[in-house]
Amino acid sequence: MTLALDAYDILRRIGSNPELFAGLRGAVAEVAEALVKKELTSGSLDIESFRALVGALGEENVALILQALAPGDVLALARTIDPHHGKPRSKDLAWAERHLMDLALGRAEPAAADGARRPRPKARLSRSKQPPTRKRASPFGTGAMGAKSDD
Amino acid sequence: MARLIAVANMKGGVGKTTTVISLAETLAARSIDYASRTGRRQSTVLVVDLDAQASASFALAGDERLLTLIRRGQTLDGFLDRFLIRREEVSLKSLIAAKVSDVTHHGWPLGIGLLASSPQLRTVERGLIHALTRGGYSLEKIEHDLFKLLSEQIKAVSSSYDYVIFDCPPGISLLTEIALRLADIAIVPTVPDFLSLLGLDAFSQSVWTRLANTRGGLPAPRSVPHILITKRRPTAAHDRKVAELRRRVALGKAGYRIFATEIPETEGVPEALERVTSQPNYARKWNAQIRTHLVDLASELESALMAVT
Repeated sequence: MTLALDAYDILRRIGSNPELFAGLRGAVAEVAEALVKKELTSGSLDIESFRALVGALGEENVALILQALAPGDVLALARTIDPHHGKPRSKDLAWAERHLMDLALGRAEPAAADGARRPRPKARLSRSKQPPTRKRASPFGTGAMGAKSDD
Repeated sequence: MARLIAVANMKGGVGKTTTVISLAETLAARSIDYASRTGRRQSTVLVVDLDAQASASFALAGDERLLTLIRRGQTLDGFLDRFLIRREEVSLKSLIAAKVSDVTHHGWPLGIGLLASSPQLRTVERGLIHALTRGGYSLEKIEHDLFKLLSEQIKAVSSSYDYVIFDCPPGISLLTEIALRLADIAIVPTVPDFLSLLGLDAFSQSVWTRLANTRGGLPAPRSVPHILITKRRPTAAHDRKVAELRRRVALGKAGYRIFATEIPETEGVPEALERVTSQPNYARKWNAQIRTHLVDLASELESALMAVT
């Protein structure tokens, strides 16, 4: 008898017998993605462990989960994996996603600590130059719902 | 030629617009994956909003762009008004907002076009019927001529798209009936509760029976309606209703088919229809659970469409 679940064994057995858990397909996907997201956002990965993770889980799976991460988490991961590269600070999300996969697949190497040009601390951006914040549309007072053709 | 899909149910609140948007984005995102593997071109999806609530138009285009489309008359009601009432030479194709979605997948924009609707559609549709009946047209003649016009216009558009999805309004209207006759397949989103199933029964018995009548030269729908269970909850009541529906289909007692895929009621689905201003992508918009079911639905839909051919 056991007092603690062998969770890895259970997960492996669920994966080996998906037909027994057919009604839980969506829930399994949700849990799998949540576990990987948790690891990616833990702040504990370096280039070697990141490459090992991608090797273990598969390029396409990790690429999709990177897409599902919150933008701030993608940029933070890029800073963690490639701490001396100046670009992640620029908030270029598409670049960060591409760079992470390039690093994972060995198409790029992290910037060296001494050789890299460290970005100068930027002065606070003026309001007009700040990147767009995540803003939801309000359903009230929209222009379109009260609009008519100009003709 | 595009495959035509109508999403309809007489009952409101069953997830028609959510089905339209999520399906359009899944078909478009899936084709980006497929194109990157095979080098083939990306599929494109056209959403035709037949609902005067314009929810699908708003969800895809956002307030600012929809406002511009409405002001320029680039809407379905704009087309009907200009073509039928003002007798202008205008094509539906010229009114489509191409690449309207700001959602990406792996950095590529989803290939979704929109023929928008506006709150004026109801007024235009009603005004059109009044004007034509006053001019001596019978309702059958109006339906016949409108079907002919829209089928020609959609045909002209469909060479540029792989899928055309009609978002039909709740209730039944002339435009909904035309979309159901034009479509290769009709998806009927249904919540497995008493009132929704009552609505489904009404849809099957009244609307579908009427559509199957080909008097006046109008074609019958090309396949039986396909039920999509939506807002599914893990409750005994939902379990019973779904089991009953599936049993009726298995026994051949129902005049419809039912997708194996069921869309669960989960957090994040209603929010997914709100537009955000910062770099939305498919994986961030639809959570992992919903994505799994949407991909299953897209595969089932492909098989169902193949069976119609």
